Amino acid sequence: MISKVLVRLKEDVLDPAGRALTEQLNHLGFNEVKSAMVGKYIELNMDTGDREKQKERVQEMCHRLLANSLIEDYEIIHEVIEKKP
Amino acid sequence: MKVAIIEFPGSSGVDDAKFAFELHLGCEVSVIWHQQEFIKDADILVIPGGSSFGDYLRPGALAKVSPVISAIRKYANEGRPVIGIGNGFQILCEIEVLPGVLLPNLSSDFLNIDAFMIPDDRTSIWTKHLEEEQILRLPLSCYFGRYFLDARSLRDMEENGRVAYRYSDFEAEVHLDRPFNGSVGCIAGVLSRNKNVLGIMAHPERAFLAEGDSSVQGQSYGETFFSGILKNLKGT
Repeated sequence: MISKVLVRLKEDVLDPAGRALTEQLNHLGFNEVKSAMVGKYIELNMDTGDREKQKERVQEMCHRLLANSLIEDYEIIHEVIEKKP
Repeated sequence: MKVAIIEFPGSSGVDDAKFAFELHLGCEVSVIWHQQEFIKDADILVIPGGSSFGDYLRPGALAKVSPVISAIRKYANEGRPVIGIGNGFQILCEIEVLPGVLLPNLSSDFLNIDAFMIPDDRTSIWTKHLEEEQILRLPLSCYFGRYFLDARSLRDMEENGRVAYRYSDFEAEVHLDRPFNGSVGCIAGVLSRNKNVLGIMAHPERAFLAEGDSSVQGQSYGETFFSGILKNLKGT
């Protein structure tokens, strides 16, 4: 089973990469872009056999390593999905 | 004086630190691989710069699960001197030996320039040999160099004299309204609660002059930085 984790900077933490991206997209003519955020996407192929257990393990990983709670929030998206054969 | 330098995969600053301590400061240097679980016979521990584990995930994030980390914690908790330089500073923040975190520079540029700084608290072994407003000009080489700390922790840090150095201009003026690289409070160096651990983003180990070199205003700031510290250590 695969778990997907999205890590993003907290809202009150200044994101220079997001700011630079916004400016450059505006330069390209995408003036409707008011702000952008550059985060991280992590995909974990795991072997737990148990949806709830996997969710718990991924949360622990986020807490201990994948995200820094001082500056980042995380979201486990599509918490557990079956990998296509 | 015995110096132990910790090496992680990707620690490109090991040779710089070794060169500075061995050749310029006459210390006995040993390099400790990150898989080692103990540190012995060291008067000072150095965690050098240089993108351990390729800065994957976050700088210092992957290093924090290496076996040597528990030995670093133990060494620091015993009140012995630890200096984290560049990525070493980032690692010390990740393992919460020092507070805060290093974010990308405000300009989102990789900064490879000399930074000016002055001592703030002058009671620790890291700073007590320096004069008030004594300028250090040290090379900075980082992308993740913007020190960040929440307002409450910052207040606590300042009240307890845990700011070792602040970025200044070349006339020793600190500009809190436009902090160099965006670091909160212009903080350039941070101390642990009992001040035996120092984290600094700039590289004093790269600020030694070669013989006949007078390019950095004729001064060896690395010498100023470290020889005073070693003298302070001998006096403790």
